[in-house]
Amino acid sequence: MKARTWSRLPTLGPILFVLITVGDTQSSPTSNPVILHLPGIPGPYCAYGVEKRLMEREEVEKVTMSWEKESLIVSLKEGMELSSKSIEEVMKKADYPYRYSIQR
Amino acid sequence: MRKIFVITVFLICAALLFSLASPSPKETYEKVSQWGEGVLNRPMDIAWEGGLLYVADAENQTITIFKDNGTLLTRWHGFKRPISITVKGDNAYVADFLADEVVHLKSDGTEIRRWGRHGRSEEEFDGPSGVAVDSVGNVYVSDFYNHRIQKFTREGRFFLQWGTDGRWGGSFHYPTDVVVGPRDQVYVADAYNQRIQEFTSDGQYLAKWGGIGFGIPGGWRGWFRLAKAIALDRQGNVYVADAFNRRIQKFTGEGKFLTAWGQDQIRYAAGVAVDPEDQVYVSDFFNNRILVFAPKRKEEP
Repeated sequence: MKARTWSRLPTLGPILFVLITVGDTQSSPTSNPVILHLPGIPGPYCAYGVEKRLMEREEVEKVTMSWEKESLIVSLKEGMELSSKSIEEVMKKADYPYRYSIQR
Repeated sequence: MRKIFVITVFLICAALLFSLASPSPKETYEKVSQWGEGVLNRPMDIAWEGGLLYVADAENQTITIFKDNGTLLTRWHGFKRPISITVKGDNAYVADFLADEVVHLKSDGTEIRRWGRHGRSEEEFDGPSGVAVDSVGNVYVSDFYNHRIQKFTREGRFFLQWGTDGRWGGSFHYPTDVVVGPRDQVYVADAYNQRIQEFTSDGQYLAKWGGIGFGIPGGWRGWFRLAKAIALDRQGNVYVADAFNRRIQKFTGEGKFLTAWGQDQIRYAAGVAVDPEDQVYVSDFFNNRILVFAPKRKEEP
């Protein structure tokens, strides 16, 4: 029985890792900078709109565009956090219609 | 629902047929030079005045000034995200999208004043995206996220505003540029409605053109995929930087299509300016360069 459980670990391991990572992304926004991936971002108004809405947040110190990586690098003020919910609000306020992902 | 679908399809087909049936333009343009690589960092709007080309150099956070042969002259600093510029005589106005300000400078770069702050009230902006000046010095600003045009005196005092978010004539959906014509008529690049709109100087709606409306984009003649910026020549013809169609379209002042060009050379048409010789300057945002085009007449058969 014991041996069978251990043999399942290689399968369970990645699943557990994904579950833990997803939970972490949702609830513990401690990394700095936060990287916002905007795959296929079409033009300047999308990027500058998101930048503008991010800079309106008191947590945000600086936003750097990386067109080559289709990303915005969001530097936070010391001791500040930016939750996924806050980023969701930012994207909504910027009227950004495309998909995006957050890397911490 | 089905009726709406059928009507929409019919309108698109009718517009397509009309577009294809219109005669080929006799007038066309050819590229004569390009410059700015290694100097510019995401050029947005441009303005020509007195032999100089002023570039809203968005990610250098400067206005970068060239002689119109491409020689770099100087840079003006003091902006967060400058995305539009207009120059008339000794006065220059810059729209700073990130700072929510309009900056008034002398043509030597000396700052005269700046006005605006973030908000939705009068004299407030939420992404000033374009700026223009009329014959008596009044200043018009397209206010991107507020979907409106604000008009100010030359001293920056609020005069009037018009427009709300919408699809019908007279309303806007993220306007990105404004220019003033020879009779002080105001043209607005109503970018995300995929059209140009024309108004009197006090905001009375006159006309619109570009596709079938309702924000539907297209690549046919007279249609737009983001009507990003506008410029006028001495005859009052209207040049539109049709960003995602990677071309410039030229219309009469009444909106009649004349010609289009640039798809082989432009990646994202962000800004357009015309000099008195009718040379057309285009800022190519993603290629970090300025392209210069000159009129070329096709030989008659």
